[in-house]
Amino acid sequence: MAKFNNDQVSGAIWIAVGIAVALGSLRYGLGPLESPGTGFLPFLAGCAIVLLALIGLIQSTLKRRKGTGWTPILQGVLWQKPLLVMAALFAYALLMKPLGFILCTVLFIGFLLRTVEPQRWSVVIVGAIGTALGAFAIFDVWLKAQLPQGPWGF
Amino acid sequence: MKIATRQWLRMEMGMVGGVCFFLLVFMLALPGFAQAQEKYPAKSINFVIGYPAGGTTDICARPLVNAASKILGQPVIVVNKPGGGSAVAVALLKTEKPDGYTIGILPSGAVLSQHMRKVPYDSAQDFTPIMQYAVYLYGLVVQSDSPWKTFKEFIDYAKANPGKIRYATAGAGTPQHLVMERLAIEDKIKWTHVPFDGGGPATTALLGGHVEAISQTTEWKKHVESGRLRLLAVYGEKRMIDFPNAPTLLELGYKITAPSLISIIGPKGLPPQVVDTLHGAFKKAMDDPDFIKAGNQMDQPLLYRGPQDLEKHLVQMNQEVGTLIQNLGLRKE
Amino acid sequence: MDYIQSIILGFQVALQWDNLLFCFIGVLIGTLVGVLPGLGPTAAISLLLPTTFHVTPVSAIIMLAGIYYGAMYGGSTTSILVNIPGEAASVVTCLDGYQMARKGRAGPALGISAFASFIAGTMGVIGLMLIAPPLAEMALKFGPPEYFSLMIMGLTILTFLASGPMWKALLMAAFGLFLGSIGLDSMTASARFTMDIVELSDGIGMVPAVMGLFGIAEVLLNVEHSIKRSVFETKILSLLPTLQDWKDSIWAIFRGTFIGFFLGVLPGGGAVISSFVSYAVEKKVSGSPEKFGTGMIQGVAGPEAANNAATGGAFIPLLTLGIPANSVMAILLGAMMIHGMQPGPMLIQEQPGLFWGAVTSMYIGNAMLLILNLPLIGLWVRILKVPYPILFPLILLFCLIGAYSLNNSVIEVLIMVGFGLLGYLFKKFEYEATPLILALVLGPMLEAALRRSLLLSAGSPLIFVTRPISGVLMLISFILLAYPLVPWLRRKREILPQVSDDE
Repeated sequence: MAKFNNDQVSGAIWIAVGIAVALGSLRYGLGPLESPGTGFLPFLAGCAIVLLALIGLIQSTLKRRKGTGWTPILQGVLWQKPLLVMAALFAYALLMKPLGFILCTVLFIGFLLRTVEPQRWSVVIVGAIGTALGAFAIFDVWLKAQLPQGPWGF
Repeated sequence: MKIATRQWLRMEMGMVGGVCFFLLVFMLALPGFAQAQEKYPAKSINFVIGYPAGGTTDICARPLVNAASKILGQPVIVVNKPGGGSAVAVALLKTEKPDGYTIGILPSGAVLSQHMRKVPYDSAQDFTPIMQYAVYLYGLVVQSDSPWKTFKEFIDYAKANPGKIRYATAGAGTPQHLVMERLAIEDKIKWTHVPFDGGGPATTALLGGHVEAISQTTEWKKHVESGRLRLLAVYGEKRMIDFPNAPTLLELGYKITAPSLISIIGPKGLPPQVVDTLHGAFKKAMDDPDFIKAGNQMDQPLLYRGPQDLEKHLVQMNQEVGTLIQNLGLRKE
Repeated sequence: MDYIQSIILGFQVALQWDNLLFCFIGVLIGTLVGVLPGLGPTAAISLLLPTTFHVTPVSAIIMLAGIYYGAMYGGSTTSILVNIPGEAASVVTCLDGYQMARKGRAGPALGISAFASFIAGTMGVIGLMLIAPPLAEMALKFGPPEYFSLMIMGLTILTFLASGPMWKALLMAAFGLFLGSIGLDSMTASARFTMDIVELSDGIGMVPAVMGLFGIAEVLLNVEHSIKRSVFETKILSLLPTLQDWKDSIWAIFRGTFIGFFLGVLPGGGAVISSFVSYAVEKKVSGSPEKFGTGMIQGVAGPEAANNAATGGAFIPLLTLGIPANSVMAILLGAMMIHGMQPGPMLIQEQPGLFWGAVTSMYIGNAMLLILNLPLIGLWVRILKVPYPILFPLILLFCLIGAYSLNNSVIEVLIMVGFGLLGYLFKKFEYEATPLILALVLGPMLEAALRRSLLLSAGSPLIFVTRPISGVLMLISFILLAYPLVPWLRRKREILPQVSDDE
């Protein structure tokens, strides 16, 4: 990794993304220019991504030669914490239907309060339950947002 | 951090309590939050319209929906999802849950579209028919300061100047589009179709001079009445009552009329009692004076078909237009 | 004289006791739904529409309009406080508003946005009164090619002024266009890139994308530092803008008003484009463009003025041509028709009481909003005193509920979380997300305009440069794109220091 700088890496990824987009659009038909088809605009967008990423790659390679190297993106930060939060968010999205809104929210808030910046258990428990019930009252009861119910009716 | 948290907790508790109390009072003051969830409809119903607000379909559907909403005792919310001559809205409706809380309009445009190109639904099979309530009237309209005073002048010009005439419609695959394609075949005309999302934007495009003509439902009415636009021909079997001077295509010697349908459908598999409830409410809503007034204003004639009749009609209509379009060779993949 | 009579008539209607009440209820509800993400003015107006059936048409329109501009105002509050834009038009408010809040200047940010909204809102109303009919005629001149060029210009201006190298900003815009094309093709209804996921047929929603890229990504960035520092200054310096703040922002407000009003007239995305353009203009005219994005008050005042003035402008095509400029206007159009009115060229003559009553009520409503919101600033700012370890789960929950309740769908939540991760990576690799959002919002409209234009011109791209209005817009875009190529080396030197200055 250290051989390349950040823009070279992201530029290379974008070229791959752009090629995938352009090839994917071909499937939908570009149509003639006087009556463009479904794939026309995404194809243009894909080509533009490839072109711009190439420009970026060239520019960043020039900079690499001048000595702009890889800036470690995770150095000096507690990267475990964003990871925990991302995991909690994904878990929430997947569990909110099976567990129901209230239970899922209690677990989610409790988990975040306890792990990311540990609070006392009393704060965690009161905070988690209070937030879940409060949010339920505002969004479901009052605003009728129809949050998912768990198998036990809440 | 923990000390700061504790301090904050102590400090803010009074205020948090106050806010909670306020919210509680506010919530209790709002009626109807403890309704039983068993009876249909227990909550608001989404009503999808495949044309933008301000078009003929939309203008006439809204009072109908409101009257039905009063009868059903729940809000019925109109959601405009324009695109592809209503095909986008109908395709999205197919993917909804058949619980009766999302229904929508199936107009003739969405039926014809499935025969003129590939769309992700089959209007005869993928839906639960609820009710037909109206048909459309269509006309060919140009700007009043254009050189074409009659339909014949317009056609003569189009024949003599291939590719010069650009006409707008509310979408590809609508009946008004099909009529123009048939005229093009019959008179060997080459003209350009520019599909818009709905009749409103199409009419605006004509007012701004971006196209030469529109082939559209009655969005042009007020502009024709005010003298800004000129109606050259109508596509019905009879002349329109409000515009007795505009000839039908039949009178002009073409064997062309535009197929027409405005119906309410739900996703496939709606429970029969839900269909009954909705059909009952919307049928009663057809007597609503606002709805009748809107229909008169926009020249959208009423035509009722119940769920069974509509189901049969949809199968029949699909066969007829399918064969017609096939024979004309207008299907594009 | 004619105008004065009309305005007096309008005030007579708007100052009736019950109309004042409806106006107040409207702006109150509007502020509330603006503050809550995921609940936009469109949903609120749809839900409340049935409750207006039994009141007079004037009262109904006054209340529904109040919800609309109230929400525009409320949307900026969450942008400033927690970096979650309530709607697309307040995306740019995040850029500097949130930075101001982080520096302990949430009060002035909220204050200036209240005053900017008030000034722009009332000036927009005055504009609406004076030049509605001629301006509506001008809007007719905008056909598909003009819209396409206008949107291209909007995107170009934004990428031109984005921080960092231009290729990154343009790349984000291109990626946004691709994301915007996911779903059913709006001209044929055939599916594109949906991977057979039903929810994707309707496209990627702006709200989950914005909440992910801004709200969630910001939380992710904050928690990785949380031990080192408490995130917000606990000391709130002052609640109201200082004299210096006023000096800094007063011209920004006027410029924003002007831009917002004229772009708001154009159907489709007026409020959104105008707020982006206003931000770009402020950055351009400012003596220190490099400070934008670090808490410049002009960067809040201008766009806030623009999106509020645009609400005034958006009424023009509705009231004069019967063309709704956005989805809220479409619902208002429906509401007016339910009440037996046909918006269009004849409305002003046929229903003068309604037209002028509604217009003057907006003036009164803007004053109410100001009075309502100034005392609330103190309350909002207290939110920032909540320690971040307790606040951030609430922000996340807010986003999760907002995304879910859009369609009661878990897929929307997953999309939002995915955009959160993407936004985090963009920050790490120094890509600015705003061009992506604007392109995502404009994408479907831009595509339709492009395809219609090519139909009109029988395939010749020259249509964009040969038509006068479109040609001018394209020329501006071209100059902006070509500009950085000329002083090639100077620009490169500008970019280098920015690489390391991100927090």
